Amino acid sequence: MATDERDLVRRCLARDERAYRELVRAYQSPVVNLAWRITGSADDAAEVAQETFIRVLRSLATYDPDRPLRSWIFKIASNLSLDVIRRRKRRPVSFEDLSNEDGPTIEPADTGPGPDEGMRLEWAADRFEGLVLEMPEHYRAILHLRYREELPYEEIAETLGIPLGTVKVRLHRAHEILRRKLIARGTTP
Amino acid sequence: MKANLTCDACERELTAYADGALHAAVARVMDQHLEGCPRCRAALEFHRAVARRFATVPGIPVPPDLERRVLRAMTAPDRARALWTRAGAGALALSFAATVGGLVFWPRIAKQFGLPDPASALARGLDTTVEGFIAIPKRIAFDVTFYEPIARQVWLSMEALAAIPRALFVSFRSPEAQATGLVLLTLGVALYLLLRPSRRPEGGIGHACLAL
Repeated sequence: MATDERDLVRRCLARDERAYRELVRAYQSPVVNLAWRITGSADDAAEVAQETFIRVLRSLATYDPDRPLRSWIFKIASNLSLDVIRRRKRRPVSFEDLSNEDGPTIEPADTGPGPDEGMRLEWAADRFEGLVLEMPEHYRAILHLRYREELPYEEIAETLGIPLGTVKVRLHRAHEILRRKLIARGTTP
Repeated sequence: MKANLTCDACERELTAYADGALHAAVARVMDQHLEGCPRCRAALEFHRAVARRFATVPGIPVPPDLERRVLRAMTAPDRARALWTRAGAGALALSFAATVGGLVFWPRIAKQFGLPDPASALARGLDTTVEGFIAIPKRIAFDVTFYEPIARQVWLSMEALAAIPRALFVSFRSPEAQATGLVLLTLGVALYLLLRPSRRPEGGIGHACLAL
């Protein structure tokens, strides 16, 4: 861990409010975006981020300074995000939810590019987002950590609590899933 | 030349290759294969495009009040603790002052209102406290002497009950008892089959018997 990070942790442990602010400012964007990528909801991401920072600051005494602070924070954030997904899966979907704009909605089946578009090979950002959101959450998390946060494989393994080999396999499968979906819709990157 | 590597094996390692996470020797073999294999090169390009897309897709903005909410949650317990500490110290000071005041002014107050002398009241209080403490072991001793014989009787009864299955087993070893048991069992089963409610409403023998 870098010296300034060590100092930041030390000051947070001394209940320095300015250090709290610094830590939140340094990691708020990656944490919010990781939570958003896993949960698929901005509201859930905001709640997860808040809970993540509260947990991080309250349990800093248990943090091992020999490990990267970033991985430790991401680990807490990804665990909390997965908890949100689990809770959501347990909750039965009611008719009110289906008609509510904020709740889950039933999307019409995606039939891919229309006849006029033919096989125009275009990959719009929202279309890409849609494809990523269709993937299982652990693939979304691993893609985000690798390509958005640029974490090395070892840190991803530590963050998600999985072996290094599993990181490689999951990344490969995530690419495969994306590739198949794109081919099925006649689109390429 | 494709080198000594199949396309399947190459594809399996492609993600790690694109991410620069392969051992140098393996990466060299991959280089050779990719040089001569347009299909795997296209797959590699796809991997790189996904990585680029992920890196450039805009994220969501941070909620503006996130920092404030976190800080409030973190500092609220400290403020509450400080408030409780202050309140506790105040209450302690007040009770100390009241005790000292009471001790100093008690004889005068007692005389004025005809209350008992403080020394004798203290002695009586001590007596009551000691008696209260002694009463607990006394009560326990009484309970033990009273309930112990009853508990012994219950224990003996339980032992007697435990002997019943053994006695039944011994008595059923005689052929007469076995025959009687078999007859009773057969009768029971027959009665059940006759009288059980039929699945067809009002169609079974049970219903016919009940109708009688």
